[in-house]
Amino acid sequence: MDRGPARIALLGNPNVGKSTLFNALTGAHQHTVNAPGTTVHWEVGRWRLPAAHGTRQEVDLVDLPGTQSLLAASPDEQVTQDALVGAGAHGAPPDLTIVVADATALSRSLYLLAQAAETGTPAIVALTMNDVARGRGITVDVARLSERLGVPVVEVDPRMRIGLGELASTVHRALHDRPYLHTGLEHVLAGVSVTADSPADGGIPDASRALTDQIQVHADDHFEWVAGIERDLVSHSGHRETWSDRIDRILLNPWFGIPVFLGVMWMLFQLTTTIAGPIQDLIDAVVSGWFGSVITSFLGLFDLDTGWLNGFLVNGVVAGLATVATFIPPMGLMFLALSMLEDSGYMARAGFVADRVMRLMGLDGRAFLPLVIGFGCNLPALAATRTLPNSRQRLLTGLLVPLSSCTARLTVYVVMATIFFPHNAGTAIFAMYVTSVTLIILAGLVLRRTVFRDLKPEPFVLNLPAYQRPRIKPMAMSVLMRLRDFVVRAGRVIMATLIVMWALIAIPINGGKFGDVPVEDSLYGATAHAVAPVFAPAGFDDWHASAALATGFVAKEVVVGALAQSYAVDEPVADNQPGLLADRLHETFDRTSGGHPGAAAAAFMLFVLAYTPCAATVAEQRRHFGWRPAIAAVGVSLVGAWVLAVAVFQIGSLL
Amino acid sequence: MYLKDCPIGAEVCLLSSDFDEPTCFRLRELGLSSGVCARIVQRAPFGGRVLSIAGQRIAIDGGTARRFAVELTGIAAPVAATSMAVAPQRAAELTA
Repeated sequence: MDRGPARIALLGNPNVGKSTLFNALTGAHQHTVNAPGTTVHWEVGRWRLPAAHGTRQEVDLVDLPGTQSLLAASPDEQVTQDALVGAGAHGAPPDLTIVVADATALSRSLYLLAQAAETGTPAIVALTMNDVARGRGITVDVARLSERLGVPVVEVDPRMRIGLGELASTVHRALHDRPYLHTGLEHVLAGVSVTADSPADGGIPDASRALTDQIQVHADDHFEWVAGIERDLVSHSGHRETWSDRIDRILLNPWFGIPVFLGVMWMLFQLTTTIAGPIQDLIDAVVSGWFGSVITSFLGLFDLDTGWLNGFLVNGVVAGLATVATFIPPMGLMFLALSMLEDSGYMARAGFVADRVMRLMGLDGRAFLPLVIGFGCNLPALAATRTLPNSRQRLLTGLLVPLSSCTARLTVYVVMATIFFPHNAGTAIFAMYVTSVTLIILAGLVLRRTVFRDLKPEPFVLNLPAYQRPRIKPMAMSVLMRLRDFVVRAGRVIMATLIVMWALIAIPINGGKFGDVPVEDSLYGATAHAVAPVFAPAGFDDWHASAALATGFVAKEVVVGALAQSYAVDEPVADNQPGLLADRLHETFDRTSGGHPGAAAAAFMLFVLAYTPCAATVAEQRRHFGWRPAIAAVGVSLVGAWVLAVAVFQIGSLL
Repeated sequence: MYLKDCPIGAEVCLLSSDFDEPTCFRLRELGLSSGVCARIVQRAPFGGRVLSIAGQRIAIDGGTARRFAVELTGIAAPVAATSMAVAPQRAAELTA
């Protein structure tokens, strides 16, 4: 029976160059998949090996989550362990495992390798970071290492594409020769079914439990074996101060480390706002404006430019395309920045510097980065959660990101603050940002003590990679892959949501033509009317406000426009000159709040801060964490925002 | 003395930590177990330290550094130098 291409797993500690090797071997032929039954991602790519007579053999290469040990301490590590033994839904162990070993931290790699030997799958070793090891005075006797391990050891430098051909030939041979790691300690998982598991212990399949038990029994032997190999085959010329040490004297300095870190965060923030903003405006003008008018003109040739078809194409499909397209610049810039930070080696330092602050919420220091980026735009911030090593931490951070007040929400604050707090507008806006930070901390603490109780603070111990110059080609490839994944996966949900929104606005309730109906008389308007009383305790029981909030579910940038549209007045030319809109809003909030328009406006602003940022954010949460957390986040944020708005209005109206 | 008290250039041997057994085991997997010798190469914000162990650079947060008892075995010459020269008098002072 044809089993399809051979499956080869890449196994290694974090920061050993495993993903760089994966990208170098598979190029553009890769995609992200969810590990069965989890929110843990891994990458699968097609790799073409040189075969006999100049032909090529295609294999599937799987980039497993980096792990310190096969005694799993996190969901990501558990996924790696399950995949290696073919447990549960994985079906079968890989045909071959490439253990990626770091020459600068060989003892940790050898320890993982000793554990991998216990799985009994054929394996070879790819030795990375050889140049850095030499710089630090570390010499590894590769030939004798291969002899001792009983499997081929290939020196590679995936960043410079050195040794990749030899690795491919070695893998091709290994698929036939099936070399097994020889540590003298391995005990193949005999008698354990690796394909028909029934999760028996907290969802951990039998084969994984058997491996865990076996590794625990032999742990001391593994440590001794590693020490023996290191003593015999690795020589150190004593401590040498390297360029990385010198750079770290500044970047990790107790006084300069934090300002430098904050400076890097500030630059990331600028990338997703100041630099991406004008490009987004241009794309919106081209796609929504120019392309939309081209479609209308084209339909005009057939007298269809005023009907529902034009509305569907321009306000549904093209608006959806424009939304997806306008997110490409900030996402692309963020992916580029993340690649540079990771490739250069600074990402590990950033996590180290910010660790103390994030530890309060049970999070890794690296969680600081997405939360800061969220103040620019939540979408790239969610993408940045993937830099966290633990899937539970990624999920917690991904749930907190929407509370970072993005710049789109600022447009609402500015208009509302200018209208209702004209003498203290700046203070009111600043208060929203303070509230945003407070909400992140409070929500983090509450979540950690409830659904994330398993996230216990652990010692931060990290092998710092050497600083390296980022390589343009692999980086560009990585950015393109991630962008493609975003456009394909999140784009679909964004498009679908916008088309549904258009349909709601197009469906008439009190007579009229489909696709040509005033907002108030549409299904959307009727829904806004029906929902409005919910906001009575918050002081803004009015359909204009609830319709604007419903539109804001799609994107916060359009809240002010939706308010203006519902009052049939022009949208403010500038956010701080609301004109007629100011009068209408004042009248409305005065009426609905019983004479406390300021308290109602504050409640409205707070609701805008705390409820779902936009449909694209929900789509991105779904992409990273699945539907259940995404929908739960929407529900909790709506309820939480309402409670906050009601509390602010009720207290504010007493003052 | 504890790891958090060690200055840059200090050469130490790890003695023990007061973490629970699973954490101690994970630290051992990461290369931090009693008897391991290290050199402090950086001080970081909030009491963190970067150790050089067999050529590796291992970052440890301040909280963990506070819980690692160490024995000072020497103090290397100032930062810029690459020699392993030890200042026994300074080491004795710190140990005391």
